[in-house]
Amino acid sequence: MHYKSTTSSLWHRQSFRQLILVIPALLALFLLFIYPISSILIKSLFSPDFTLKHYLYFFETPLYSRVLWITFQISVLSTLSALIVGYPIAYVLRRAKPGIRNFFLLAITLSFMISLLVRNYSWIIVLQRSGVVNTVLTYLGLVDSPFKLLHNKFGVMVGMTHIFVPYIVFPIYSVMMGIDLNLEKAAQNLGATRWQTFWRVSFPLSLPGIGAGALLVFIMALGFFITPALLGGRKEQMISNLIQIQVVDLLNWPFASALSVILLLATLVVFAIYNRYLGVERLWGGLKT
Amino acid sequence: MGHQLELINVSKLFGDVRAVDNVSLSIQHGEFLTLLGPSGSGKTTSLNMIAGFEIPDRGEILLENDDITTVAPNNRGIGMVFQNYALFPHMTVSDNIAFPLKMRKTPGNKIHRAVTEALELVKLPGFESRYPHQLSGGQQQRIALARAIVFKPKILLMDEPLGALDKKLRDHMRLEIKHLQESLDITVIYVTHDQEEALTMSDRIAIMNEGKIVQLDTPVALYETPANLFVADFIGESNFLKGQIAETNGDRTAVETEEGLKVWVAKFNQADAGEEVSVAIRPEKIQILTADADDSNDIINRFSGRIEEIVYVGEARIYRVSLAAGIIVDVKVQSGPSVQNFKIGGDITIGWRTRHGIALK
Repeated sequence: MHYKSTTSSLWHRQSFRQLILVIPALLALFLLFIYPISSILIKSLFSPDFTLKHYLYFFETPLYSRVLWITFQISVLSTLSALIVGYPIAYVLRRAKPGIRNFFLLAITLSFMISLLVRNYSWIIVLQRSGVVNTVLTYLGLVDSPFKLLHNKFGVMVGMTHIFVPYIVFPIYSVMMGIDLNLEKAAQNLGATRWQTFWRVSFPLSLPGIGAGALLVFIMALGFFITPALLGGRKEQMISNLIQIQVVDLLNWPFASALSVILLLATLVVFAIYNRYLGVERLWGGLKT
Repeated sequence: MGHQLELINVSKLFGDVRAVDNVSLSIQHGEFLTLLGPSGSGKTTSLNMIAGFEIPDRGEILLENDDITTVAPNNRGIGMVFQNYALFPHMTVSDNIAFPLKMRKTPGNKIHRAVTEALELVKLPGFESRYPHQLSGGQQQRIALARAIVFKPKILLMDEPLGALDKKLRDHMRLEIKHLQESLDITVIYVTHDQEEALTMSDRIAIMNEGKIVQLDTPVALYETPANLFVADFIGESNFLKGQIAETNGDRTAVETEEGLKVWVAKFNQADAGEEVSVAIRPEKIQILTADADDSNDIINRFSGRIEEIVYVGEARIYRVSLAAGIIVDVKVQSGPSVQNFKIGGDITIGWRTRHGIALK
């Protein structure tokens, strides 16, 4: 060894000096994430002695398992419908002229700036019995009595899709921007029809964007609260709505904490599955094309 | 067999810009034709129309006498190598090369054989399972080439295929592409802005400028007898002397420059006496004349001047000579054992044969 240690003082050890630089970040992490999450975990497990009764209560009561199932159902469906709406938007934006592209990107960004509450209330105006949709349908004589578009799964799906679309457009769009359009020309030149070009080249290359957008939206959907509360009926209440009722109406903090932990675990499971098959590093754009 | 590909009065407009302006061109089977020109001269647009990515606004394109002007790119059977290779990053080398065959519903065992053969052809056997990002630029280039020829296209288009490679590799690939083209007996239309590439590879070169073909000829003819000022300036180096036609005497024409220099060129009958022309002389065609050299007695373009500058470029020296009349001319002399030791500021006599001065309008 050529290296010779001249002093063993703690200060001169590089590892220790590096640690000091990390301390502010660790502190923030602790205060903002580790402390709140552990206090919720503790609240759900101790009252005041260690107990699993809140968790047992959750799994023993059919209502709660059903809510968990509905939460997953609505999350999957709203992610899919946001994908179906968002993917073509990203696809067209990628190919649009810069002026048109910037206008629509700005429009999508603007929708981030409008409060969730306002957007959901707007849907109430549009979808209610005497709203725009029903008025038009009745006027055209297409329906005899107004459709029920609110306080059911349809209302929730419309509201959540509307909110999620921008979150799905941006990751897909940014992945698509990284795809060389010459690849599509090459595919056509080599004999592929437009359809084959899409399915064999454009679509597979945009998969990382689909994966990132879908994961983001699905995790948001799992914890979604406002839309099911405003646009859903009793049957569309999701886990977050249960938590709200437990905290605000019943002041049952331990059970609310248990529900939160279950939601967190469900989210982590989804994340783990994503990581297993697609790799989390793709989320930060790690894929080289 | 007649022409394999014909462009007849083809035009393409982008807004108000005539990207390609009334271009006609015909290519024989097995020919290596290069579209050469500065950027924006319409060469890539021409290539895109042949490939089917752009539809001409006017004119038609015939492939083996069939009108393909508006046929979709995937139904043309024309191969193309893109500037940045455009290999599919999510597919292995083997899947990339198999892609055109799969699109043509070739049976699996035949695909396998064709892929192996194509890889041997481009000297990369055993690379089947690699991904494009695991390959060097030169290897990607070869795979792109293999993919473009594996389905035996009628014509192979190449859009600046060597642009992204370093000089050594470029020179090597140039020869390899040429050999491949000859051994496969395939028609190639090659686009480049690199004249050296064009001169060394092509059977014929179409020089393009502002959407038009300004001259279409063999490399030798383009270099030795450029048809106009643009070509003389674009291909290689030239000295230009501006002047008026003074007289024609037998098989020679005299041009008198503004400074009063009289230069004899080969007989020029495209202009009358008194008309403005430019005379182009290649620097390497100008000789340094010494009193004892008897092989230069018949040179009548003979001028004395002063050496202003000497530039050493390795295989040659360039002498920048100011002639008595105030004209500066570059003279390129190959380096060799007999090179005399000229000095800046020294007097010198230079001259060139009548046939090496080309009058251009």
